Amino acid sequence: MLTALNDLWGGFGVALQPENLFWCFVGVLFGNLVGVLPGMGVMAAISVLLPLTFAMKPVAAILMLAGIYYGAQYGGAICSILLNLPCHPPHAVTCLDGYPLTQQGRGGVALGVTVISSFVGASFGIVEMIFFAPVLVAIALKFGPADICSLMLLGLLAGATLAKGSPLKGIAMTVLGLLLGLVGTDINSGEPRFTFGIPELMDGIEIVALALGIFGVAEFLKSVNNVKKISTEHSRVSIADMRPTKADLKLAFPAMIRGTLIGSLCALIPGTGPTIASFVAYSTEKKISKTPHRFGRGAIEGVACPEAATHSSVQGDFIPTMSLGIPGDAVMALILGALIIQGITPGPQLITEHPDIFWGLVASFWIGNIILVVLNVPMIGIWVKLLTIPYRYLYPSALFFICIGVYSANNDLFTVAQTLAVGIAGYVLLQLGFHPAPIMLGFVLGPRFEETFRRAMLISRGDLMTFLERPISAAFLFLVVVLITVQVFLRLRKSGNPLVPPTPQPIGELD
Amino acid sequence: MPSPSMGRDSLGVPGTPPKGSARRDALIHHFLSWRDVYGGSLLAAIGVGTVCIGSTHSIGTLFHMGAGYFPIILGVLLTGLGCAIAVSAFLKGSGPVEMEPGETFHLPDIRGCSAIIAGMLSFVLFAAYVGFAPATFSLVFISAMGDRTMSWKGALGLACLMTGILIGLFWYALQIPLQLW
Repeated sequence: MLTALNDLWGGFGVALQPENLFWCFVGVLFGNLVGVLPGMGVMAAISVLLPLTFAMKPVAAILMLAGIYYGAQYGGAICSILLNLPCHPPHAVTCLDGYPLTQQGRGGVALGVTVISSFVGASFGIVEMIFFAPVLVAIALKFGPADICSLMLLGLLAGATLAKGSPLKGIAMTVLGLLLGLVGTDINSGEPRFTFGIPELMDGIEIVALALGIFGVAEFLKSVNNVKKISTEHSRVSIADMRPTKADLKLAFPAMIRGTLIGSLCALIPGTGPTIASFVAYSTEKKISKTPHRFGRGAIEGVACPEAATHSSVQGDFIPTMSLGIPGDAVMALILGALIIQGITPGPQLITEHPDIFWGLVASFWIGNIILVVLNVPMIGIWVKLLTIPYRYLYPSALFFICIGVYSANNDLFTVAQTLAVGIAGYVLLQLGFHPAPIMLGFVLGPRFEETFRRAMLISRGDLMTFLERPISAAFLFLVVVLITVQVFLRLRKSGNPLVPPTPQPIGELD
Repeated sequence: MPSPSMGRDSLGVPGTPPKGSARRDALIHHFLSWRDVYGGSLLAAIGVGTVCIGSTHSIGTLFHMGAGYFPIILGVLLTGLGCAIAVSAFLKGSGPVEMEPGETFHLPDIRGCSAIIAGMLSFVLFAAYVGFAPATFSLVFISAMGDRTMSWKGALGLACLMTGILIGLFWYALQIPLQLW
């Protein structure tokens, strides 16, 4: 415990270096900006800035990319509360009570409470990471290839089935992602696989092209001319409006603590990211409330609880990613991809081999969150102004940033064409009712999954029983079975994903 | 900015029936009730293709896996999953359409989609044969014209602004090696 605090001290030293501090600031600022703009996603934002990080030091690169992720969460709440637009899935439930508050002219209070809950939730998530990640690493260092393989299987399945939509489709998307990860030169034999004779594909599909195709171009193809008109009649907010009254705080504070705890628990289960955490938090809060009828009509607890849960889960999401090398969702997969590009092997050895990255990241979370509070309270007027930028100006500009960002990844126009192709394919999948987020998870884990599987088989001389004979691996496989049984059971009991209540007013609805 | 062209929406695009018409609703309903059959078949086809390509590589044994072993496993898995999705949807038939909570569906917007695709294609072609400044201009201008509420003046202004950002930020400040024209 003392060593953890000592390491954290060192981490602050790393994070406070002017260069790292600057990139952390750039990250949270850009994230906040993207979070506010309706119709822009975190994934697209991280992918656009990813090529820029190739020339940076690993620490600065990771600090910035992580900053975009949690910065966008602050911005997303503004969008939900003031405009009733759940542009970012974790904040969809915040609309339920946030927008009624805005209509009552108390949107400022809702935003103020959001900033406080976000900071409380995030701080707890960071503390969880400080003490929990080293413990996890100590266990994970004993893992052999078979154990890691089973763990990856668990992570992939959880990511595929616990996210939105039908579990079967989720698993299919994960397998598709694994397949896309195979494209390129096979590391063991050196033969090119699935390159269709195109020399540019020898190095595999570019991660930036895949991410921006799916989460950028495909989304634009889906929502062009289908975005509903934004009404900003209630969205005038100044700093003075943001101060909550004593009565508000008395209601919001216990909800905040409950949300934080729910979020931090959800972060530990692989595959349950901030979206599920916020939904679970909201329904729990409504269930235990003495006045459930107030929910949906502007209850301040209904804003505080899910927001705290989102933020504590966002920070907690980094635990499995950084300590085990198993990403919990598509965003984490992309950040892991960035680490791999920097030449750093993710896994339990990361904390000991690159303490500057891990502890610098943890320390930067705190610095970044403080910057975000400072950015959001006095500058709220500017963010609100940004909300009024119409979609017809947003998507062509975003397309330009996508094209130039993808090009600068390799200085190769083939990558731009690749992005367009992925985008069209992603649009087809979206129209067919598939959620493409698990593709990212499969794509990033694919090559490592194959490698560890081959190594495990080499060690066991081709005996598949090794997965059941090793106790750690068997435990993970047991969890896989539990996960699938629970899913099948819930499916049979009632159709529809039980964890996700209906979204209030989805984006992209015109009529 | 006022949107004088909103009325154009009701005219519709050639090829897709106008909004609110019975034909359009029937088309949406048909697609939504059968889309899992289409989607599942598509995945199954990709799976079969993967197995075919995978078997051109050496397969090896479980002990010493060749380059084709893992792709074939994945291909078989994807085929199975695709079939399961398609068959279960086929057995359900065209009943009432179930949408996931929060999900929306729109028929493809021909004007918007073709503008985005054409814009990106023009970017690649112009950048390859002329330079990045005209490429950026045409990308932003063409894709912006895809929005029905966009005026050509607005698109022109946005395209000029983005070309300015390309020159000022990416070429001059970030010094990304690219040929402007």
